[in-house]
Amino acid sequence: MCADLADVDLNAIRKARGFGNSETASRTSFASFFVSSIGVTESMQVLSAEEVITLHLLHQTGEVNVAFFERLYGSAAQFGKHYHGTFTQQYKVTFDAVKKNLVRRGLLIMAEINLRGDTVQLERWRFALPPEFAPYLPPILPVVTNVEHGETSDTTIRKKLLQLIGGGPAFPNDHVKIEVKGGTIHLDEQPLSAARLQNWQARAWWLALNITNSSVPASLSPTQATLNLLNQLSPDEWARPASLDPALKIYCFGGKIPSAEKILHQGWELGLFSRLKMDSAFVYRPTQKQTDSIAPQPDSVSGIESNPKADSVNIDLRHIPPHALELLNALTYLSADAARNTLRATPSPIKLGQATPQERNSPLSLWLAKNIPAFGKALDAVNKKWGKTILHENLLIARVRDLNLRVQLERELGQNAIILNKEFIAFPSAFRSSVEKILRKTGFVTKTIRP
Amino acid sequence: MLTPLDPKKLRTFSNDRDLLRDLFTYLDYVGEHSVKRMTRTNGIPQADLNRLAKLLGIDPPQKDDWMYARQHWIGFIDDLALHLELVQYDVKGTYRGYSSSEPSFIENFITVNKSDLGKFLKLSPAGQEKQILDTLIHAKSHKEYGNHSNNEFYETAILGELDSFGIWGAGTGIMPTLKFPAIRQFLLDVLKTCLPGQWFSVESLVAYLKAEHPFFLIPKITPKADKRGNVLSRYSNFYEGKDEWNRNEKPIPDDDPDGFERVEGRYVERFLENIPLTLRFVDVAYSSTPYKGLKPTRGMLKAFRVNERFSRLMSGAESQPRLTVQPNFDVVIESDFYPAKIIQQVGALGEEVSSPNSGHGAYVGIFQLKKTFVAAEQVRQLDLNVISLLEKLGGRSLPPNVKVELEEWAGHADQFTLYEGFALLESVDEILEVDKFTAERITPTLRLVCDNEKILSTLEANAYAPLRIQHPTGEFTPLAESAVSRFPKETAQEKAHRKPKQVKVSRSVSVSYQFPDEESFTSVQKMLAELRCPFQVDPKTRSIQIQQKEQARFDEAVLKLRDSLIIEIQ
Repeated sequence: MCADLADVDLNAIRKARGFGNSETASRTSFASFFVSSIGVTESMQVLSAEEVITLHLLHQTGEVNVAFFERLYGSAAQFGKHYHGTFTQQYKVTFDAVKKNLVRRGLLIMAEINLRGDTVQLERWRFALPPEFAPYLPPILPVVTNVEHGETSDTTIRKKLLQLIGGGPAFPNDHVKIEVKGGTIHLDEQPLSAARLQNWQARAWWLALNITNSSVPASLSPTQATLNLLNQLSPDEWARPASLDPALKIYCFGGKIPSAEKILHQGWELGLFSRLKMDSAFVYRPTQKQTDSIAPQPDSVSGIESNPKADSVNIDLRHIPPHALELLNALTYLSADAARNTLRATPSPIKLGQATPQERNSPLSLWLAKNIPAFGKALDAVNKKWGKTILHENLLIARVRDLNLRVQLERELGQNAIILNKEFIAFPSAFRSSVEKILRKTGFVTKTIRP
Repeated sequence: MLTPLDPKKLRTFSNDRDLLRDLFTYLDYVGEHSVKRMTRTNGIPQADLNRLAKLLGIDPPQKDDWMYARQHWIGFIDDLALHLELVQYDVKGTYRGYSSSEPSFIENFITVNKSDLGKFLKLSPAGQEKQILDTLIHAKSHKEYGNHSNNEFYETAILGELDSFGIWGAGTGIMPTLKFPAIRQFLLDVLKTCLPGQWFSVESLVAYLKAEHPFFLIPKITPKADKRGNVLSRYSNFYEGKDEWNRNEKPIPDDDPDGFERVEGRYVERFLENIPLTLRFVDVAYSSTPYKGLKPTRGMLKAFRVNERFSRLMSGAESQPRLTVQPNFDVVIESDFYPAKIIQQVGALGEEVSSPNSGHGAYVGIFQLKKTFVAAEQVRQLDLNVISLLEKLGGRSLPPNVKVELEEWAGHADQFTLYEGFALLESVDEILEVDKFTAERITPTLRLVCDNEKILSTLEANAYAPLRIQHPTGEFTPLAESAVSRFPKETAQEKAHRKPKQVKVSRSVSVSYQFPDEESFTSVQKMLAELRCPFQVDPKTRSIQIQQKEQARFDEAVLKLRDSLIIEIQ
């Protein structure tokens, strides 16, 4: 990067970041000084709000060419109309602005790359924000702080879950299938999980807004951009819709952008965001995930009707929290009872065996074991057996009859060999070449047995 | 009958290539590599030619021209393999469009005909040589209109140096009526009667043929006219001229007294340096003085000598290859003809240490038996008995020390067995339900199993709560603390005691000198270079950097410059 810089650029960077002459004397060592924290905060303070947003997007995108900065500084072309000039004529003004405002401030690195075919120099320049500078970027959004939880809408999610027991579509264009198959809820042919449910919500959100994605490289869809922006909020932080508009303009450059108010309201309706009324207007943040593992053991779980005499529980899909349903999906055998409009969960030793220790010891699992004897019995049986039968895959197993060879192999493999008995050893497949090297050296050959 | 000749004053030439051996080298190469012939010329690509030439120990064709490569030994072998039907590839090609002047050969890979090769390998070495001879005698051109010119009159021998008749008119006149396979066989029969090892003059051979078999080439009674009614004369196809460019050529008259020498004599010369020389049946001797006569050349091939191999092959007295195993583990193979099958068998058990390239006499190859080779072959062929194989090939028992070692080496095949594609089932209790999936039982609680999905469903159905662990390629997946296993576990204790990575860094101290002007800067650089002192310079800052260990040489440079520069170091 430093080899491509002109002396005048280097002097400007030295001035902007506050480097001494000795630090810029050698281009090789200057690369290390450049990515240090020296003067980064000061340089960032003079950036405009749009420049800060663009640098955030650049950090997420990685390496870009000069066309990326058209969203920030514009170009000779009028957006949406075909430009008849050359690449250089179109982006010369952009390049000059990038160089002046970002490169010479010592915030951006630029380097010329080799490209196949006929290209002009301006096409070959690549720009990137050093990852070391990301923590110093000013916040992208102005935020308001409030410890309240706000309100969350779960109507659409409930509608979707009720499809399991014969409910209608969650929204008009919803073609994603949800069903109980082999005792497990499947959403879009995959076992239901919080992440998959969120993907479905995001897709529904995008469809509801009736938007098309921008074709400009590095630009995001308004929904993806909004999620990215709000996911940067800390707990107790909220964002006003109006504060998102400038960021969306840059993040979704080249596409049709609905107002942030509309985007957020739609997201809230689909259960992606929580909202809170402050000063007669709503502020938003992503719906906070309920982590069951850190919650105290509940005396009762909302949406689960227990009967100590029965060996199953009925799940009320109108009230069950999504994270609890995800856990039940992983631990129990589920069956839909359309006649009684309920979902029934029975103990499944197979699923309990496949579950992680965290899932088996979650408060919900322990609650089920305590309140439903059949669950308690199954969990006890699995806990007793779990970890005692292990199927190891993707290993190489060798039978070594020669003692000298065995010693040499053990010495070579060290911690990467497991002694199974007097003759057998197991080792990861990547060490095959090391083993073969020793065999060649010692004059032995490999007899390979395959299934 | 024939006149002996002393070749002292002549330039003798012997073929040092063993055609049979080179043919097998070619077949091995095209069998192991996927050789795609070139689209335009249908030639072997230059990279493959280079590799083949290296394997054969010859220079590759230098020009990127398949016409030139065809004149090369590799091109000849390639062509022979196709004639023998040991390989196959497209020789006709397809015309890609109306404007194509030549066919193209798309995705034209050379493939080995395994069944034909198997049959060929089953023949004795002499039988293989005979099949090659027969193929060359009867070889036809792959080109649609090339058969009339595919003979010694028009095709230069692969190892020969005599020129050819002009190809113009080869498809007309008497030429299409000549039966070249019979002519070649007749001449070989004549050569069979020659005393092996004795040089004879070609002139006397021609004289003998003129006297005894004047119609061996062109029958006495020839057709009077061709299909179109054109009158045919005996020698109407043959022209002589002052140069090789077909200018001012004149036909040879039928009634010319030396017509036989000018046509049949030239053919005999060219025949000798074709099949007999290529197959190492004869050595030839050329005139050492430049040719000054009408072209094509005549009388340049002065003498020839047939050898024992040829006599034995033609008489049918076939000798078996001899194999001897020596106490120093050398296996010596001797044979009149290249014994490909035995070499393949012995080559799998040892390393070839010597293979004579004289080509003239019998094949003598020496292989050294190697432990790894024997063990590897034992792994490949589980029922192989190396000792009995060598005894059978050699016809006698092996030296006792070799026998003992071979027994031990054969045992090496079982010392390291790798189980690939199996899963390891580890359990606390013995699980009888998976017996049918077990390939190897290591201990009652450890077993190698296959069909993982079925095992898992069996274990789950029997409430074993199995844990499925996919280990990455480079390490073991740490197991949960509660798992009962001999595999590593991810414990908090392990995390706490994880040692920091140790890195060894070498230290070197360098000294930098900055000069006030260009003159002193350049002078010191030149002197340091004279003293061969390694240094680095930065012209911008006019500084010279040296390693501290080179300080003495820097001081010496300063001392040597004291007449012109007084350097004071601050």
